[in-house]
Amino acid sequence: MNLRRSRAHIFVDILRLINKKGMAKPTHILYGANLSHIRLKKYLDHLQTMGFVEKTNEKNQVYFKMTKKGYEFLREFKKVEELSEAFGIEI
Amino acid sequence: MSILIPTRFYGFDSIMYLASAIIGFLISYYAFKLFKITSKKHHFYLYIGFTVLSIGFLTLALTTGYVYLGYFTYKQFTAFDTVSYVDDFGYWIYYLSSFTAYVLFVLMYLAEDLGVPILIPPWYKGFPYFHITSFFLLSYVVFRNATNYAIKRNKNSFLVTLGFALIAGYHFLLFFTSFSKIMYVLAHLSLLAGFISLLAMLVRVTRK
Repeated sequence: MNLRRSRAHIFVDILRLINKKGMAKPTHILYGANLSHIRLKKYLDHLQTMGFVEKTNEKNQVYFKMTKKGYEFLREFKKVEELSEAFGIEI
Repeated sequence: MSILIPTRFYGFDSIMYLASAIIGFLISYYAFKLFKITSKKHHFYLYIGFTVLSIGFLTLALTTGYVYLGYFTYKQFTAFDTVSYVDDFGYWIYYLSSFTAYVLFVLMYLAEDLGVPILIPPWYKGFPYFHITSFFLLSYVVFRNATNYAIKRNKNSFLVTLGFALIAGYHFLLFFTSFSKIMYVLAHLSLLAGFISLLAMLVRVTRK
């Protein structure tokens, strides 16, 4: 069994964390997704480029929140995750 | 090796092949989505496996359907050329595609364990060997899925295990079609039930 998280899984972990909180600060995502600062920045940039999350400023604090595309991706991921599990193969 | 088919069953097998192909294409569509997200080798094998298997069943549905149409219209089987019948051509495409698909299903699990795919010797030659080979290849897939079900204990993994077991049952029963006509009918019912089981899993997964 491979214990390393795949790229897709890291993306989903970040999205699920943001989704759970509605909006999340980078520090919360960093601890919640268990990532280094450099890797977190790389993943968040990628998620923004794909249009899954967007950056907002509230009371001089940077937050990340999900976009409609991000919600759709999470919903699709849940389906294919279950499909993969049904066949007994790792995602 | 001859195949005994009950006359009353003519055409029903084509419909069963078509239903299996449609269900197979649906699974391959979702497996493709899975592969698009993860880019993992075993998800690619799942996607290509079901696509190739469905192409085989679709070819078989069309060619046997064409032959049955000729039979019902002119009371004679439609010749593809002077040597073989149209459905013989369909069967060979189906043998090749099914064998490829089952090897891919086995590799899907082996690739996960060993990191490298193993080579399977091409000892498949002709009709009876095809069904024995397919049965043994699918036995491994069923075993892996049964293990997955024993660990996870969820309905979806049970439906996949049952689906592959019934498809393996189809190959097992087809091996006895020389001895009894009913075996042909039972084999095809087993095939259809197998794909319906896979469809039930897909419906459960996608309706959420």
